[in-house]
Amino acid sequence: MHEQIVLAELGPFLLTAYGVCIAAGALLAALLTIWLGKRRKLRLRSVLDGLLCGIPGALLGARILYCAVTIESISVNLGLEFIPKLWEGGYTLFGGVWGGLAGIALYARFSGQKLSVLLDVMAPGAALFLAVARLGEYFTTQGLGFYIFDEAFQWFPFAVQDAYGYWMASVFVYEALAALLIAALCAVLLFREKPGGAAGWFLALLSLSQILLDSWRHDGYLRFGFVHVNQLAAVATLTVLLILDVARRVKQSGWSAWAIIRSALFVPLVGLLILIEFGLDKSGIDNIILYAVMAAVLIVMGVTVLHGGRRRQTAVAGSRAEHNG
Amino acid sequence: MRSVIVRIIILAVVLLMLTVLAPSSTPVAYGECRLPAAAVDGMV
Repeated sequence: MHEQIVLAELGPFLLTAYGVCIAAGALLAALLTIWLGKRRKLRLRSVLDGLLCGIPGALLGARILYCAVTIESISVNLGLEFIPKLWEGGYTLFGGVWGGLAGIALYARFSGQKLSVLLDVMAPGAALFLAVARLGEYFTTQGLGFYIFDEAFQWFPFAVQDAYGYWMASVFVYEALAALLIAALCAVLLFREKPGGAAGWFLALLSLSQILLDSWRHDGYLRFGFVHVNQLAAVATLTVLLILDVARRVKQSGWSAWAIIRSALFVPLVGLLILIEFGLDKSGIDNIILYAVMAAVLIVMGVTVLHGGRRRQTAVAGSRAEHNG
Repeated sequence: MRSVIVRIIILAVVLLMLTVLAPSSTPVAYGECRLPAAAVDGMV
C-alpha cells in the first residue's frame, strides 16, 4: 500500500493511479454493458444514453452523499467551497449506486425506455466497475482491515502491508472479488430472470456483502457512532428492495403467508445486525463468533429480500415461456 | 450512425474526465494521512 500516487499535476487537477483505475473500471464497465446490450437486442444508442446518464449520476451521487455525511467535518476542515470541487476527491459507495440508479431512471422516464431492462443490462457492468475501483485502492491507504500478526497469513492478496509496513487484511481485494462474483452472476441472471431480476440481485448482493465487508474495514471509513455509513446505506437499499417486491406481489395477489413472514422478519434481523456491530465494538465475545452470526443473519436477510415465494417462480417460468414463444 | 459516434465521443470524454475527477475516495487535502475515524465522522 502507498500514500496517494500522483502521476501528474494538471493545474488544480491531480492524475493519480487511483483515478486511472476508476476510469479504466468505467471503460471496462461500458464495454461490457454495450456487449450485453447487444446480446439483449437493445439499441446501441439507448445503451450509450443510459451510460451517459448513469456515470455522471453515479459520480454526483457519490459526491453528494459523501458531503452530506461529512458536512460538519467539511465546513470545519475544508470549507464549504470544497463541495463542488469534485477533483479534490471525496466519494462514497452507495451514493454512487443511488446516483447511478437516479440517472438511469431519469433517462428511462424521459426516453420512454423500460427502466427494469436498462438496469438489468447495466448491473453486471456496475459490479465490474466496483471490482476495478476496489482494486485501485491498492494505490491508496484505504481498504485495509484488521492487523495480521501471524506470519502464515502475511501474503498478498490475503493481506497487504500498509504505508508503515504492518500487515493488514486487504479488505479491498475481498470486496473486489465479491464484486466480480456479483458481476458474473448478474450477467447470467440477465438472460434467465424476469425484467428487473438481475438489477435486484445486484443491489441485494452488493448490500449484503458490503454490510459484512465494511465491518472489517479499519481505515478512514465514514461512520455514525459505531455503525458504518455504508452499512446503513446497504440496509436502506435492502429495505427499499423488500418493500417494492412485497408491495408488487401484494398488489398482484394479496397478502401471502410468506409476504407476512418476510416483512415481519426483516426489522428484527436489522436489530440483530446492530447488536452484533455493538458487540464487535464493546463486548468481549470472540469476533469470529460474532462475524459468523452476522454472516448467518445476512443469509437469512438475503432470503427474505430475494425469495419472493412460489408465485415468483411461476412468474419467472411464465416469463421464460413467453420469451421462448 | 452519426448520433452513435457523437455519443461514443462524449462517453470517451466523460471517461477521460473521470481520471482527474476521482483522484481519491477521500479528500486529497487530507493527504491520505490516516486521519482518526472521528475526523471524518458524520457526527463530529
